[in-house]
Amino acid sequence: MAASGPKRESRKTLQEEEETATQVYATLGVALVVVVIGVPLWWKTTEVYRATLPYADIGQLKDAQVTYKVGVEFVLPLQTQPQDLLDWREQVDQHLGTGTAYSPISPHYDIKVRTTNKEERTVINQQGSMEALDLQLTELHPPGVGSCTVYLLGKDSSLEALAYIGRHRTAFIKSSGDVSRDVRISAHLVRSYFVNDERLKTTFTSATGAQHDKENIAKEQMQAFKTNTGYEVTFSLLNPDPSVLDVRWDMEAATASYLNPFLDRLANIAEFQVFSQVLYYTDLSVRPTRDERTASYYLTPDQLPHTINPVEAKLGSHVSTYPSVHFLVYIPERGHSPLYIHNEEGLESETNAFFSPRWGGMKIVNVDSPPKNASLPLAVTLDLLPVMETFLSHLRLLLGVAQLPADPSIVVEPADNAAITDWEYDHLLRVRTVENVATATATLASLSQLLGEIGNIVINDDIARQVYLAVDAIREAQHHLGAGELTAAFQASKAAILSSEKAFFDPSLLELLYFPEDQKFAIYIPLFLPMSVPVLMSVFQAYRWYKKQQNQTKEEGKPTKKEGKEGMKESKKDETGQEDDNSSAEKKKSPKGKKQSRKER
Amino acid sequence: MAAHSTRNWAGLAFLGFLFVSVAAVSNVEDQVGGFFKSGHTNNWAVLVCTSRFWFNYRHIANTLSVYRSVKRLGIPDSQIILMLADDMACNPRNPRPATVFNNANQHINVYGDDVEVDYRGYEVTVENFIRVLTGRLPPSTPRSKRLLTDDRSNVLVYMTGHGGEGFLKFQDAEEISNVELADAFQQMWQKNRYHELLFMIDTCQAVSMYHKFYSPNVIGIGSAQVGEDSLSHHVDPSIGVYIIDRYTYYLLEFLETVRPDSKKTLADLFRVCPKRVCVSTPGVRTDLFTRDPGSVLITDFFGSVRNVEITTETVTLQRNDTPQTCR
Repeated sequence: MAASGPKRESRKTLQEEEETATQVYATLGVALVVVVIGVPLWWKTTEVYRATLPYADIGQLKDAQVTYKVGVEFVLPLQTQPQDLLDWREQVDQHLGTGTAYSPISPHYDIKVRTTNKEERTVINQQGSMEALDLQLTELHPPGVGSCTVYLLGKDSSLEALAYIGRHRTAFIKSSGDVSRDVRISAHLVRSYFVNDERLKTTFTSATGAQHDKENIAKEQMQAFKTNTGYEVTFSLLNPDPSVLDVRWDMEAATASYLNPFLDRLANIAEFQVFSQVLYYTDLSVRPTRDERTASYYLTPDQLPHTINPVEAKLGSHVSTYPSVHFLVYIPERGHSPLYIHNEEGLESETNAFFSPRWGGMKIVNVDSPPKNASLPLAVTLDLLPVMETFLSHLRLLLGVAQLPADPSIVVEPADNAAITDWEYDHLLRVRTVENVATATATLASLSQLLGEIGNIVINDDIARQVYLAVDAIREAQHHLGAGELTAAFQASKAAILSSEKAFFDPSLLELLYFPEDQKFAIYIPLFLPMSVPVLMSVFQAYRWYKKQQNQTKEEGKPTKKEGKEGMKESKKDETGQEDDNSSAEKKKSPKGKKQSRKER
Repeated sequence: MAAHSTRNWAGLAFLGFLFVSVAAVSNVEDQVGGFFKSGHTNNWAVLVCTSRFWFNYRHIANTLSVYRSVKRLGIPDSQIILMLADDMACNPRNPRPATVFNNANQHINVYGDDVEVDYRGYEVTVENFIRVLTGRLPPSTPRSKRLLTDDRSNVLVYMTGHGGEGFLKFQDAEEISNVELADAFQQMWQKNRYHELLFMIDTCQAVSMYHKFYSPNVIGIGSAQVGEDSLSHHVDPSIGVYIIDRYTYYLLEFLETVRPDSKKTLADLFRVCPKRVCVSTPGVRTDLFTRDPGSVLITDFFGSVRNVEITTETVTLQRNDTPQTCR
């Protein structure tokens, strides 16, 4: 009995051992499935998809210095001494050099100095008007878009002022005999008029995002619309009292004669949609003051802002998403006629018009009140020439055509009916290109920063594609600017801004629902707890079993070593145990061996 | 000795340079000052009522009160985004159809004659609201439903509804958290979609909604502190429900005294509805805002006073009466 008891017991434990082993393997299997298949699957399915974006390229673009090339040609009279020619060259280089100071945007002047050729001399010697001279020389030798030519005229020329800037891309300077003076004036013409470095610089820096930097606020920039691919121009005639005056205007003809030449010239830059409407019974909500002396009425500058708002609601809704430009012609009602706008000094404004930045303009047109016995309403047709003159000057401001400082010594030929000269157009094109490049770069930089800040926004492949397109287009625009190819640069910058805006405003780029950490916990607990508790428990048990086994092998190893030292007594008793274990695997031997060695002790 | 004098000269030159640069800066400010004192050229408002159903009559009245005020002070409908369930005025339970009053004495019909609701009924969702703010709308969205602001826009965001600490419920279906709202404003800032932003919220524990903001030039105003309820003002027995919340009631009372040319400032606005009448404690957050609220006009946010400039010179055109084909 004493012998069979332990034997049965050991067989029982053997069975248990086997069961435990199977359990352990099963546990390991389940844990393996959880770790190898479950976790990656869960990770993959809950992951926020984010396409790779060229973060490094965007960072590079942000820090890249933009240079624009301007071709400038100085043409001196034939009789200039070779030494003077050299001096000219040297001093012009000095004046138009960019210096060493770092600037995110800087010009690169491609300077040529030469003397007049034969054809030019014949034209210059004709002694015609400056306008004719300008035209003829331009026809003879047309400077490319974005470049300019400066002619130095002899002392005997018909030019009265110091300098003259034509309608095209040519300027003339009357020689004073002093090279450094002439150079200074011509460099000033190029820098401040043709190219307008300063404005390009402020435009660039403010568009890159330093928008609330007070020093960078340029009035021109706040007046003009930001760069856009199109504009909706609406002309409205406000007639508050149609029962007295039946005012008509032939807007269609006026648009064709006066507005279209300007818009056609800018067709490359933006698309324009022109509308006109007549609004009846729409009056200003402010009360004009009566001026007894002249029997007229006037509005003070303080009142002007309040004239727009009440009217604006009636101007109609807009069809396109282009910014709308409004031009209003107001015909004062009989009781308040004639109506004038007074400026800050209390004087009548000559134009009787005012302008509101990024919105449009308004002009008050006084028409003669109907005579006493006239049959009402009296039909009146407006003369639209002065109206269009005012509104075109407003439109120039709104689109960002440069306003130049008045300088009596420099005569600037005003534009013809196109309302914009060639060099003004070049400048506008350059400003818009620079602004587009800066805005597109800033948009991409903001996008990449945002996506870094807000982790749970999905970035799909289409957005990534637009971003890559924008990066390429910005590079192309910068390249063209550097090479002086203005039109190509503008087109590339337009593509850049379209792609970058499209990427930024893509409707799919919406932040996923935000869950605070504790809510995430609350969602996962009911899902994962019932499953993970048994798995974790059995993994823990498997670990304990393994640990136990480890100890066993250690202890089994130790006694065998001890055996030799401690003597025969122990080894003899061990034999019985070893006989039982003959068939079983070595692993199972060890726990039993341990039991027995314990018994002995 | 020579070295010493050189240093002196260098110092003088440096001083001179400083003087010149200071003069240049002040010159720019002068030039800008007269014309654009506040630095903005246009005003926009986003007014959101996140409740629906008859018993939430007061939230609709809240939103319409602010709508009425901003419209009266000059923001045109094209620049107001109104998100409203709009189920009160024509609700069969409304004893006075087509009206929403802000008090039982029926002083002010806040529904007015022309209300342009941009997002109505079930369109008032968190998604639409975030899309309006960030500008990420589908291309087919009409202009009236877009917030077309730029870097010179002052934006007023007014919200009301049922909220808790850190969230505001949208129509019993979903909620917006303060983190999402802060992220949306940051996205606006990154794309130059506002110049300054005034966020105002009338709900329980309202101030928790602006705690997470981190974008510059934002002011937050909330009707109640964390742990406080924002309370309603009074019941109209003929309607049978509370008809306006306390904070907005006193806000409207204050805004009714403001005229487009009024010189009242944000500091006056902050004093609206003290605890004695509001019961809850309104909160203000100005640490993200750079200007002094005491010098900022109410109309910089609640109205739209445009900058204007009298034209002095015009282009000269040649008379051209020959008929041309129109484009």
